[in-house]
Order: sequence, then C-alpha cells, then structure tokens
Amino acid sequence: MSADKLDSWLEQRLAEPEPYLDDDGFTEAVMARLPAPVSRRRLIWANVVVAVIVSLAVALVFPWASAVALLTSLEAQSWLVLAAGVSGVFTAVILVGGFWGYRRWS
Amino acid sequence: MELSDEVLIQRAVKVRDRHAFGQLVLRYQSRLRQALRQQCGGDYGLADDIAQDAFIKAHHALASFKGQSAFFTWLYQIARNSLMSHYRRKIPEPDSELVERTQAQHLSGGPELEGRDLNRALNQLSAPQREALYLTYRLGYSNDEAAQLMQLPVGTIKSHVLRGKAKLKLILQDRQQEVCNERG
Repeated sequence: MSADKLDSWLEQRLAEPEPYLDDDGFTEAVMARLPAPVSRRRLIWANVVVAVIVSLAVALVFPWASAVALLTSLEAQSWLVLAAGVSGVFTAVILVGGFWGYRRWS
Repeated sequence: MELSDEVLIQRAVKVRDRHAFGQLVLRYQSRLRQALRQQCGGDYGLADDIAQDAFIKAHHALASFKGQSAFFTWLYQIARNSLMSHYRRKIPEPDSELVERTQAQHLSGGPELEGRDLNRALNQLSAPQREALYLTYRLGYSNDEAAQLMQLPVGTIKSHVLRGKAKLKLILQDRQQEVCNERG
C-alpha cells in the first residue's frame, strides 16, 4: 500500500463509527443504582410529623405566662399583625423544609 | 416516535420520570462505553464501571444541565473527570493480563486484520493523542470542541491529532512490512 493509500485508508478507518455495543444489562444496572424515589404521600406524612414535633417543642419552651400578659396588653390590630408574622414565619420554615426534603429525597 | 434528549431530560427532571432517564442511558451507553474503552487502554471492566458512575452522577446533576452543550458532550465530560480522578487516586493500573484476554476475546473472529492492526496501533499512542483522535474522528467533534472537552488549548489538540496520525502511519507501515514478510 502506497503512502497516499495508507493515508486515505487511515482517514477512512478512523472516521468509521464503532459497532453498537449491546446493552447486556448495563442500563438495568445503572437504574438499579439510582436512589429509590420517595413517594409523595410518605413525604407529606414526614412533613406533618416534623411540623407536629417542632410545634410541640416550641410549645414546651414558649414563655406562655409572659406572652399572655403581653398579648392582653396589646391592641387588637397589633395582636393580629403579630399573629400573622409568627404564623408566616412558621409556614415559611415548614414549606422550605418540605421543598428541600422533596428535592433531596424524591 | 423517538423523543428528543431535551424532552427526556425535562421529564426526568420535572416529573422524576425514571423511565425517561433509562431511555437516555440506553441511547448513549454504547457510545460512552466505546469512548471510555479507548481511554482505558482496553480495560473494558474499568470502562464500564466509569460509564455507570458517569450516568449516576449525571442523574444527580441533571437539574443543573442547562443545555449549553449536547447531552452526550456533558456526559462525556463527567465520565472523563471520573476517569481522571480514578487515575489520580493511583488505583492499580489496568490488569494487563485481563486486558489482553478481553481484547483477544473481543478480536477473535471479529474485525478483519486491518481493524485489529489499527486498534493495536491506537493503543501504542499516548493517551492524549488517542483521545484527541477519537474525539475528532470517531465522535466528529471539531478541534475547538475537543479542546474544551480535554481542557487543552486548540493548538495542542491539533498537534496531538497530527502527531498521533503520523505515529499511527509509522506503526501501520511497519506492520504492513511484517505482513509482507510473513506472506513471503
């Protein structure tokens, strides 16, 4: 084979697509190693349980006596603003935690 | 009808459709495994392990894939990084006996003599030369794309391709001579 022929033969062979490799269980092995998805129902229940536990813990350490005294001294409008603020923060924390859990485990 | 990569990725990310990701694995497993076999110097077991890891890493990072490149290019980059860190960890070199046995199994009754000679010659090139030739010829990437994938300047890629081809020609010429002598 002359140098020119060898050159064109090489170009041709290098550009040839390689034969298709049979899957032979490769895809199955990959899929088996992926983390198992967590069901939405389980995740919602987990969120509810976490929310209840957090609420109980907060309720236990909360200074109810001084809080009640403070609340009774407040006017109705301030009371509403405070309640909205506290429940807003609590809801936001639960939602962020739930979303993070969903992204992390689903 | 075959769904595009974009649609499959979207399904895998947005609705956690495992089947969609499975379709991507099935679509690209051959291409990726073949590419890695070239880079692993014939250690097919190692190539397949790295390919599996690459698909799993891709699954974890799929939400961050924004489609700036083709899915396979992104996947290849993940696999390449895994392979590089594997070699950096100094895990024992490919089992040479196993490599020879696997190659013998692969080649026996397979490609004709010329194909076998080319594969042998390719294995004698340096790893960057082999990868540059593989990316530009077999996978059809441009020099710029190959440079991006290999994280090297374009000039270096061109040089790897030219020197790799020159070395291949020399090896094949020698082999041709040997074959002529054998046939007497």
